[in-house]
Amino acid sequence: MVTFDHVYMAYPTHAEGWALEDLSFSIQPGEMIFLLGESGAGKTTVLKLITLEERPSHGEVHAAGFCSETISRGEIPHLRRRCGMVFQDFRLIKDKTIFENVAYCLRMTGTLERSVITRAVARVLQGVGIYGKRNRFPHELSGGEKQRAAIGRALIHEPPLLLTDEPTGNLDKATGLEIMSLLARFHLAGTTLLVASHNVEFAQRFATRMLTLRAGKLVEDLFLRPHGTEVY
Amino acid sequence: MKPYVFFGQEAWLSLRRNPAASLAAVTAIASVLFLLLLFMLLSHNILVLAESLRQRKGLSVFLEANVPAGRVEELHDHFSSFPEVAACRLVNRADALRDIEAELGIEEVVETLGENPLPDVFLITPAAAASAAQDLARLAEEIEAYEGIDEVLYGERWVEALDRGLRLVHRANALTGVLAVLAIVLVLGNTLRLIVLMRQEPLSILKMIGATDAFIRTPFVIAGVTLCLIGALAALLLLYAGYVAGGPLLPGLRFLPRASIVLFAMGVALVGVAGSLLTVEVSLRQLERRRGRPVM
Repeated sequence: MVTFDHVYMAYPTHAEGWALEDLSFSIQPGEMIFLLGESGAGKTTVLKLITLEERPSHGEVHAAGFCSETISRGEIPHLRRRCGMVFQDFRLIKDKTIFENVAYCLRMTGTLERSVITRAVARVLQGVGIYGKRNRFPHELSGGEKQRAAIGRALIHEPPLLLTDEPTGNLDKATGLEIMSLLARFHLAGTTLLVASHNVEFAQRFATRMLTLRAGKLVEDLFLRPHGTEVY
Repeated sequence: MKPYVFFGQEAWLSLRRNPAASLAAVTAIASVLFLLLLFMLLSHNILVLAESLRQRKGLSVFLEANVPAGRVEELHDHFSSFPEVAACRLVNRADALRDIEAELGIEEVVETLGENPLPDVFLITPAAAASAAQDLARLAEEIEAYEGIDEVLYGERWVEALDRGLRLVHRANALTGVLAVLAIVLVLGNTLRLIVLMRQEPLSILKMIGATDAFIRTPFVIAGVTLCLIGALAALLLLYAGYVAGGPLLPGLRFLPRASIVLFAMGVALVGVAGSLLTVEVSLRQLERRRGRPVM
């Protein structure tokens, strides 16, 4: 599903050398992987390389059937729709309601039939538990509710892979646990998850596998439990 | 919902979020387009006049000033005897002045100018067998050679005389057209850049969740074209109001034909599309560079 093949990444504006160095790993369908590491270890860079927000300096990244070396500019949106993305700061469009935020994703793929959009958005918002707040604007919601909305938006295309960048980073512990349980529920339903986090506790509780980065290098690749045997 | 309805709504929202910038853009576009329309109106009326003069079969023979009455009568009788001439009518300068005053609806020309500026004129109607262009040219040349004749004008010669003025108007038209295109592109550039900058956060979110470049650009392009068309409509209404108000002062003035208005609107829309595409593309790329991201 995702393969990093001897990937090196350096930012032109950063003087401290490689952000990622000789990174190689694969993600199999059905896994729920926690990407652990301190701030600056390279977790977010890994996610950016998967969605091709950045291109690797050396090596190749294969994700959702696309290769970083050969993908065209026009194919990048298709890649991103096949990798749902959830951010620490939610990144909801502020002047649109929650319904509109999610519906926008459908509209940009050409789905403009009102009844189809209403059904699909209702289904996904019910799935993340905030259907009742569909007509609220993001600033009217709590952090946990915003993150649920962001997860709903990421799942509207039913992507096989969901990438989350510190999804509980802006939430208190109880709300964070709710969000992780929600993500785990989608994992059980068949979605592959890559969670960039520094929360080892959540990783031990939810992950099927843990990858640990330190200063851009993969220092540990630990299989915790086979897929399908998760205990939440 | 149809795609154009959705994109239209998004475009309208982006303009409503920036009312001051949108209004400034419409005003600037309307001003420059009004100037362009004014020259179009002038050139259209000169063309109409030229065409009506080209259609005239007769010759206008202008006499020099102070030709004695006896000589005028002699010339009249002489020209009337030409086999190519069916009729020769003398319009003396006083009658000509009265005709012009009646036709244009103005009075007291002599009081204003100090004297009657018009010469005596023979209006010659050629015989049916001698009304072809080359016959008229030959007849005009012959008449012009007589003493006391200042100038002979007929169809093509009228047009030639008008051509000099027309060329000047055409040049002004072209220059205003180029200025209009430049102004539209500049105004759109600034307005759309501002709108894009104010939307940079949602735009980066849209890119991250898989929006195509076309999906992101289209509302901005529609917004740009809308600004242009509103500006064009305002300019057109202003010109029409001026035409209605000033019409009685300039009898015979005609408004732009429908085909010219349609062409004008299509041209403005085309410039709007091209200008918007260009500026949105540049603005989005600048935005990506500012965020330190590669262009993708």
